[in-house]
Amino acid sequence: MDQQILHRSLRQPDQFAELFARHFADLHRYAARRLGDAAADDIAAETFLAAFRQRDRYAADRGPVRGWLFGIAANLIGRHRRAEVRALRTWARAGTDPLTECHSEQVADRVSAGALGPRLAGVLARLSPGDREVLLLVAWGELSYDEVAAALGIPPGTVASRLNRARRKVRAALPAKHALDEE
Amino acid sequence: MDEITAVASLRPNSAGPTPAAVAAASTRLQALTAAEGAGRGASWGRATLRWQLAGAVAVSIAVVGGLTAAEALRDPGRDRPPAIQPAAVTELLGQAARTAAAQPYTAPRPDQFGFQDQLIDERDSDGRHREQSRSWRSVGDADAVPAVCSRPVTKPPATFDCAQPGHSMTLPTTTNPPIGSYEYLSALPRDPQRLLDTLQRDVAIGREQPEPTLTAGVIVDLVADPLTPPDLRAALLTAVARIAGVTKIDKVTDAAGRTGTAAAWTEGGLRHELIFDPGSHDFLGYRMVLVTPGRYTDLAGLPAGTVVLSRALLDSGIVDHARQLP
Repeated sequence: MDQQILHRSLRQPDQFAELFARHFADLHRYAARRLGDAAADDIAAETFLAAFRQRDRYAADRGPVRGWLFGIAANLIGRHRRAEVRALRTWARAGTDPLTECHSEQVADRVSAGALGPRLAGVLARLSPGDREVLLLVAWGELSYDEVAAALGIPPGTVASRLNRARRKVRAALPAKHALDEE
Repeated sequence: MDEITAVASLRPNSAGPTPAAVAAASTRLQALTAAEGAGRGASWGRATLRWQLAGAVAVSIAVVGGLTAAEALRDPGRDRPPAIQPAAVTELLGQAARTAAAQPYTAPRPDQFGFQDQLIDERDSDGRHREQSRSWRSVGDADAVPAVCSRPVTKPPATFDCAQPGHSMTLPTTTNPPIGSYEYLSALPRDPQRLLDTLQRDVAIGREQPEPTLTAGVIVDLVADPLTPPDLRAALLTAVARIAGVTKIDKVTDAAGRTGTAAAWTEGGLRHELIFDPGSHDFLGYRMVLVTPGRYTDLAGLPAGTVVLSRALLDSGIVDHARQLP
């Protein structure tokens, strides 16, 4: 469906608006979760401008269009990498997410353990950029392996290995009392 | 709960974009698709100038309300292409470079801030916007958002507003370290040609096509930047002399009403003018003059010769705290 829309937009540029309607909100939510709402406004808008300009270079064999769009967004988000990591470290130290001003107690309601939020933020900050990108595209972007592969231009097998590595680090960084249930 | 679920729960999902954000993004995309649909060329040439310029600068150009109904910025004497005076402009820039290099300098500490006080006078299809803007940018924290206090140019003078510092148009930076950060400035080559090549390369990162107005914007920002070391400022001015078509223009007035001598060149349908004090050769400010009307959507209807942006550097320096004056 997305590929057909993209193909049609080559001859009828206004068709691209349909892709915007289908994916803008998801992209915005993902960017907002990474960097906050204000940055997400720019990143989501820029993603579609860049995608429109590059659409003649999209090839169906590189995977789902949705993943391709998230890949463009990931590149834009990557330009804020240092700020993002700094925010995660701040969260780990201070117990407060500077992005959402959300205290650890509130986080605890969501992730089931009192100090888990800051601990997880610290783990995310220490992950390699590649591993963090895969983990967050899956956990926050809710992308499939194929979509992550398309987004980052890596084989699905690499997605799996990066994700497994990231998951091990998440698990290893947690104290026994916060050990997560086995799948 | 598995690790993915734990991470997913770490930060709440956003409520999604506001209607205003959707509308703004949609409008921008529509402008782009319409431009292609109308067969306006493969260069996407009618992108808004304001947005293009935004990517160039580390310290954003701020736009606030409180406009004054003042005389038009149009400058009738600027309609004609200026006469080519390569020797004259080389001499001008050489003198300006020597002046810049001779300035006393102490490398700033990471906990200090670069301070700028400038008058900004912009004109686009919607009207004229004038303000005084004071900004403080961290030396050591390249990702920190600069503190900005601004006020519209009115009579009597308005008070500075630091809580709502105007309409920031800074885009995500395209380099690491970000363009304009002290770390970036420190690493730039001092050889003028290599410097020019580096700036042109860096502003093109992440862009489909080179945008010449960005290079001009970066050069101006770095020349005016209080964090720019004197040797780099001198190299920048020397590099300007290597830009194709650069020439000298006498009696150019900056946004503060000061008359100086300019080094000017035309790129992207706009003439860029770096203005210097005719006696001391200190940098005074910058003007951007519309040369090719109809190229930018936000300048539609403005005639050739319109000064679409004028910035006057009133003061600058290194201070110990944000919102501290030198």
